[in-house]
Amino acid sequence: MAKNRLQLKQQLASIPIHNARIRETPDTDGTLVVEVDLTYKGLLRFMYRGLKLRTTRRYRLDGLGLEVYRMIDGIKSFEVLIDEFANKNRLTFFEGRAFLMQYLQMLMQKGLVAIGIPNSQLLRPSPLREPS
Amino acid sequence: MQIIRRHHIHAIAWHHIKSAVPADWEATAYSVEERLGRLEFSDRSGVRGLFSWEPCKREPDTETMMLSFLRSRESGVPDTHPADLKTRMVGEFKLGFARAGSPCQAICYRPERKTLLRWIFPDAQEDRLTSVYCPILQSCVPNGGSPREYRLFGINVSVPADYEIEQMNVFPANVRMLFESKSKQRLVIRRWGLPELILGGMDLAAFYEKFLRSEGAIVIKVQDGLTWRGMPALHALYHARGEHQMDRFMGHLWKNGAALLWHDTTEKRIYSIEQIGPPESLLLDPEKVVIAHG
Repeated sequence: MAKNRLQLKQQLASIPIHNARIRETPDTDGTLVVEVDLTYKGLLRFMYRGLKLRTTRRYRLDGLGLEVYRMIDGIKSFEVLIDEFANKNRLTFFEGRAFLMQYLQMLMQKGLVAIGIPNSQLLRPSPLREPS
Repeated sequence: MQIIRRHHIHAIAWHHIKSAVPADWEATAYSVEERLGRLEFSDRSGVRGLFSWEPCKREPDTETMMLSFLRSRESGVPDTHPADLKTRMVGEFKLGFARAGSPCQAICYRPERKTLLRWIFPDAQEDRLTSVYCPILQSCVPNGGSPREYRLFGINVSVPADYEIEQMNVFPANVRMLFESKSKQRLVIRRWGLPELILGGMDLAAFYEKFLRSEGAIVIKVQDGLTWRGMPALHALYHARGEHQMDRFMGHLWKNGAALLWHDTTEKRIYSIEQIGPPESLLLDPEKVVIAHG
């Protein structure tokens, strides 16, 4: 597993992108409702219709979460997003990184965001151990 | 020698040293134990420096230590011979490296405390040695005596020498340092970021009262609408269950809890300082404990 962990440079150069198949509906209270299609694996792939399992899931984004979601434009790298978020909220770089990493991980698990990772061959490793 | 400009550095103080590191270096790992431990500093390109301390009965052979360090770090390059090692004294530290670009190490032995202090930096490029590493080493002074300073993760405090750091919790934009004196007085310093998120629409008083209750305190009084060093602040009095020996066992309350919370709106941080102790104990003056910025 350790081999699959990203180096800091790779992590910072990665580009989060919205899932192109999600549907966004702004609500009157300033929040955003996003709807994502669910996919099933294994036997459930063939049976979910018969079992009448749900085919979509909705999430409501607000406050800081919505702010970060809107910052993702498919062009800005994770490093640029951290800088913007940290500057706006007067956080340090590593504080901003920890917040965004946690939040993006959650968005990824829910299928709202994917992360594009650049080729590791292009990135030179640091001589000392890097923070994970 | 070129010295890093004042606005490009920030002060740090921890067990054994007070120093100054470049402003973009952040502590990314720490040890609380005074006997043995390390601090790790990183910037966005990775780890930039490691500071460590360890007990050492007598002055070590620093050059042998440096050589074995370089041999262990530099795999795939020709073995480092003693003649390759370049050393120089910078402040209290002996700095050593073999070649440009190799890691370098600086060692200082404090015989009075029988402690060995070490800084490790990743690359011994001449420009970085002159502009970054040497100024750091020159800025290192002992952090002893009373009061003793602790400056890390944005918390800057000065506490009497009999207060020892017992616990530290560092989460993103949420730091807590707990000190305890020999007479069992407890001092907790907190620092929160993202105040809008932390307050969640509440005012400072409602937030802090709720927070202290969640920490097991019985809040007696909250005096709101104060200012402290020109910042909105509040003062709270509370009771809490005793933490030691029979007090804990019998559930006796310590009734002298006092807390001060302030909101630094410029820095977008909320700080608090909480103190409590056995009956009759004297609490510290927050004015003396909290080091002002700048």
